[in-house]
Amino acid sequence: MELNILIVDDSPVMRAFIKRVLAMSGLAVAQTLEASDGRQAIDVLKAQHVDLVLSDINMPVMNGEEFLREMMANETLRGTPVVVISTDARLDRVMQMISLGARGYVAKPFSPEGLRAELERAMGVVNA
Amino acid sequence: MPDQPQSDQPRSDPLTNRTPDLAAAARRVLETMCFSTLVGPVEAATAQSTLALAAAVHYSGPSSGTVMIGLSGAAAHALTENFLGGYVDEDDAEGLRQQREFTAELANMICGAVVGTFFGPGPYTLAAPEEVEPERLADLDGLRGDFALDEGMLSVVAVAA
Repeated sequence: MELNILIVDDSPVMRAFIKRVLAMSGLAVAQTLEASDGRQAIDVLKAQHVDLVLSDINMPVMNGEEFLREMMANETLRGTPVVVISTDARLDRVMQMISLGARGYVAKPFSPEGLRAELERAMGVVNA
Repeated sequence: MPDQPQSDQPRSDPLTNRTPDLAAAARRVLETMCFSTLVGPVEAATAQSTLALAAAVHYSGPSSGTVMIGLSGAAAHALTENFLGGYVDEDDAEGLRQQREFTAELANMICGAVVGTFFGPGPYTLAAPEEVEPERLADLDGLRGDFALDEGMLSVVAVAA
């Protein structure tokens, strides 16, 4: 299955880097969509089909925590898996984001292989 | 100089004598995210004279302070191209914007690596990276590492509040 993936990060260079790493990872990607904060991401999710969301935490307008809370409160959106990508590798931070509804967590720096493994785990893909 | 983490001897200042850890943290970020590495140490004055872009990230928690990085023009250009996987124009406004944004992201990632390596589990909060004048790295009183890369130079300074 080819995936529509939404990248949510306020840094254009980080969004470009994640797109590049997704291509290097070997994942079957149909389309990458972009948003620079949680509010834009909610708008994209309401307008288009998205299979997977990769989201930063520290963003203006609507940060990653607020984004997850709003997604999980929306019956239509809450089924879309979200994987958080952040510099913050603290276990308590990871657990906080998981408790808010994130299906996975990738700490920077990360490799293409590490990203792919976490995305597949988050999507429940076995032996992909 | 070895890049192995030092022992966990109690210290009054967690930044004391941690230059190898600083190098290890920077190397881990460069190798994983920028497909580059540290070639070796250089004199601070040598690196300082080449710096073209710089960014700072403030951290707060049980300890607080700032991690500041500076890149020479050659390093900023080469690392940005490595990071983005494509050509970055050195001279136009878009290329400069990409290099500035990359420098901020690199500061963010190196700060995260430094805080995680030096201070252990927190909780720590990292502020959004901010661009600073490269000259600010010259006289900072903190832990400092100045390194040659494949292309250009990188300076990292960690300052406790």
